[in-house]
Amino acid sequence: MKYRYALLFFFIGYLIQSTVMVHFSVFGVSPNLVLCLVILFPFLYGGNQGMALGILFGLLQDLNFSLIIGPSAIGYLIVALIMGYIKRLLYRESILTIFFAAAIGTTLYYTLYWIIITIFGGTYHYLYIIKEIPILVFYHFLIMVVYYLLIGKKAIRFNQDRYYKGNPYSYE
Amino acid sequence: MKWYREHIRLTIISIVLFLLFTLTVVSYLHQGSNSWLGSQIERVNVFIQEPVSDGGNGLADTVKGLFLFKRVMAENRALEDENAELKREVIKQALSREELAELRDLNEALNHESFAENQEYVTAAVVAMDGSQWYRIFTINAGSEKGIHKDDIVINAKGLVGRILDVGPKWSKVISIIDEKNDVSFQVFRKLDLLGVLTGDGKGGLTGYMLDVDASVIEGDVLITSGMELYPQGIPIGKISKVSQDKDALLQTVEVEPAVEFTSIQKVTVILSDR
Repeated sequence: MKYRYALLFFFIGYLIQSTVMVHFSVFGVSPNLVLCLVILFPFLYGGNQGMALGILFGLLQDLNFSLIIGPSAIGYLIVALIMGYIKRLLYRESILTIFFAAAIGTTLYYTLYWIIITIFGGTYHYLYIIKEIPILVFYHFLIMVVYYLLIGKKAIRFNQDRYYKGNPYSYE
Repeated sequence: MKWYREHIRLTIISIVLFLLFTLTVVSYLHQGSNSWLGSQIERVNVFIQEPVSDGGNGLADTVKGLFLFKRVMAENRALEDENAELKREVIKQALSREELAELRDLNEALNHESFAENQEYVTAAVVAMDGSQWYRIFTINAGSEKGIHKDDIVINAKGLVGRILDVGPKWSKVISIIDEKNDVSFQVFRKLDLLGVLTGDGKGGLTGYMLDVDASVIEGDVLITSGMELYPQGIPIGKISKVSQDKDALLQTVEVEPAVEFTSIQKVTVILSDR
């Protein structure tokens, strides 16, 4: 995917997340659309878009909604990196794979976020975070499936595709 | 050097990670203060987020109105009953108006200024709130141009929301009481001489203790601010959801359900400090 389109998707995701998504909260939990894109981008397109835009929008998110700047950006960077490695082990054309990606990415991000926040004086209990993770995983899975079926699936180019010349954004 | 060139991706990622950690440490050391760049980014953010937030709120209200018609009707009936009750209360209160007038005269004679009469307020709309994060920090569309300062108190119709964390010309960032590390002193509304101290419990609620170990508090007691520190007196904080005795520390601890629902705040009022 071209960087300008990726930027547009992240921007729209961030804008919706920070304004209207609170109206769609389930048991007081709202989904993290930027995290959904950070998980999906390395998984579907490879390359560094998910990582670079994750850092950018993570910083923006921290600037707006956190006491310290950096935890979200670091979390997105590490999640994007790990997703990039995991995709080699999983079969990408399956909805179940997206569920695994959502579960691993969400748990990893919120655990990393909690560790960083706790190091810097945060008082939130890990049990409180654990309680929210199943709802978040399910919510993120739904959003990622919708994205995958509507947009993601069309954009995937597999090595066995005819005329495939490789992904210009990937270092693989 | 050759190793770095061969592992350029790993090198770049390591440098970026190091820079981000440095940024985290610096922002932790300078919490609450915003740089010029940060302020400008916030300004652009608010400019973009405000119309989207307005549209989203309007749409959500309309959709909720459609789906919750029965509940709205029931709420309307409850409000009518409450209105009738309040009217009776107004009549009762009118009787003590004369007494109040006398007390005000006395106040003037003694040059005493009461809190409520000298406070100015600014009402603002919430333009950005990220429900996916645990921190309930949000942005409102009023700032220093309307007289808001850092640490001004923020309330809404239900009670105490928090305080101003950071201010720009047209925006302010609010931190909720559940995220506060600072203590909030309270008094029990049913019996105002029962005092205690609250703080965020790390689970989205509030927890604290009574100053008097034998204080007769019960579940359901409404707590209000006592006015002993930052927060002025008389603002509802929440309801006691659990009372327990900590025998080791000889304390009576309380768990409190906040009066404000932090995930669905749309409008707030900022009490301007006298500076």
